[in-house]
Amino acid sequence: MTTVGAVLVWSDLGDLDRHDTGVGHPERSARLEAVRRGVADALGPDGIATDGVVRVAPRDATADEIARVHSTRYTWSLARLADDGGGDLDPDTPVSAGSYATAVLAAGAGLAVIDTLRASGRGAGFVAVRPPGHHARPGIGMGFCLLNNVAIAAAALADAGERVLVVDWDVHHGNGTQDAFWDDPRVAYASVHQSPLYPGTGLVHETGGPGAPGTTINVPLPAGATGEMYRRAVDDVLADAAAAFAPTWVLVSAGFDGHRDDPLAGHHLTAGDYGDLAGRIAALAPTDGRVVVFLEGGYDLAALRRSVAATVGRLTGTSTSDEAPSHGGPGADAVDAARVQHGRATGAG
Amino acid sequence: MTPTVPALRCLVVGIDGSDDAARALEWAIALARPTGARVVAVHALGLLARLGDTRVATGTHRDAITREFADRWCAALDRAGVPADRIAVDGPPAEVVLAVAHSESADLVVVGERGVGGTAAELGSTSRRVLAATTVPVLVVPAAPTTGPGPPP
Ligand SMILES: [Zn+2]
Repeated sequence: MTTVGAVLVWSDLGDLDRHDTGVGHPERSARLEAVRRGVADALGPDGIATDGVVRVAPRDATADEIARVHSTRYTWSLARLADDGGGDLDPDTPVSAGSYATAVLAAGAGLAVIDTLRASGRGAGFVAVRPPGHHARPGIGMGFCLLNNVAIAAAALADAGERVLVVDWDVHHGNGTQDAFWDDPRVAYASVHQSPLYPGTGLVHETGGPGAPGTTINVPLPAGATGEMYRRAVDDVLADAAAAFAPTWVLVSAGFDGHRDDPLAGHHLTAGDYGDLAGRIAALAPTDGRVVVFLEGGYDLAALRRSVAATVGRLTGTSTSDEAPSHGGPGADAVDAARVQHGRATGAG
Repeated sequence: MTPTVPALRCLVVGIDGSDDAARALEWAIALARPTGARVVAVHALGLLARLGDTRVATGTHRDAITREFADRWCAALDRAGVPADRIAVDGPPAEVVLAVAHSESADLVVVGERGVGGTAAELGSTSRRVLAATTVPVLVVPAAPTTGPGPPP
């Protein structure tokens, strides 16, 4: 069990605003400013300039690092689309001239933060990047996502001999990450999300391929679920599964679009819930310095700022959220169903 | 050797509110009338949708989007009076169309060449992705011609 370190390894925002999604798109550059303010709120007036923060400049992910997750055919086509001035991957997912370079930098930011943590062995990583990544599948981007940042980081760790648990608390199922590691026993993927909702995957019986049975865990919750159901999912399902899997690293796909103020979905979490979740999930890592939180969704700027503050405050032990955790609502049956599913699939519980 | 052309019992048509999808629906109706086939109109619910001139989040406007799909985008079905169903499913358009074609045992899939937002480029084209993965015949209705034939009357 990790002691949550006072060190935050923070990826500088870089030039991530070059990914231009157009007027009125919710996945916009202003999100990163809200995240920066949230980090500053958590750490006090000096914000990320404090001694407790190690600032890491993002770097470009290399072609080989991206190719661990994405087909070269897709990566090449995406680069060409951006080179040609852009276009849309689907009605949700615009690509601008700067999008490919931004996505490559976003994917590399996680790798740079991990390199720093490997060297120091202490603290928690926070990778504030856009575009988000967890819907990006090996062969195609979708759902605002171009390259799968968390998957590229998990694949790099797995190739270095690590066992990686990816926990995804974005309100949408991370179908791209699930696809990437479906049959890979080195990386476990656990998601708590709203269902039915885009992208339509993440049903409870989706538990991994024949080469990695039980290493995909899905806890689909109905609309109206509160933070209590996310906590139950972690305590009643993920904790046992993590103990059985014995990860050496824990990566978090931290979308904050389950917040009650978020326009994209119908869950009722508060900022305090995200702080709670961050603490619980950090405790699944074997030691300090082995947790990295990646920004995914979160589209109400005020809610995003408060939720990031709660998450970072909990990871660094510097502050607690004044937005109380939420309780009640539907979803207890769904958590039970996932517990039963994984009691069978893993032979535990 | 004369190939055997199976009867058309079920046509699945992708609907996204675009002009191309409306023309695809007209083709599906034109094929359904003489054959008695059932038309299954399918809409893939993404993260965002257009309601009139406004872009809205599907998660909070789900009912309105589903109504817009059923009542307005599929209005031609009511006028035509052919047997029809309307299905809205969460997911990426090509996968949703193919999944419904499979579950409905469709004999033919009808899609517009381009849709809302999607480009004709290799990466953005739903019709190309449907063609790449389909196991049933697909009719692709070309993008907004200024000349040339429409659907048969
Ligand atoms: Zn999301």
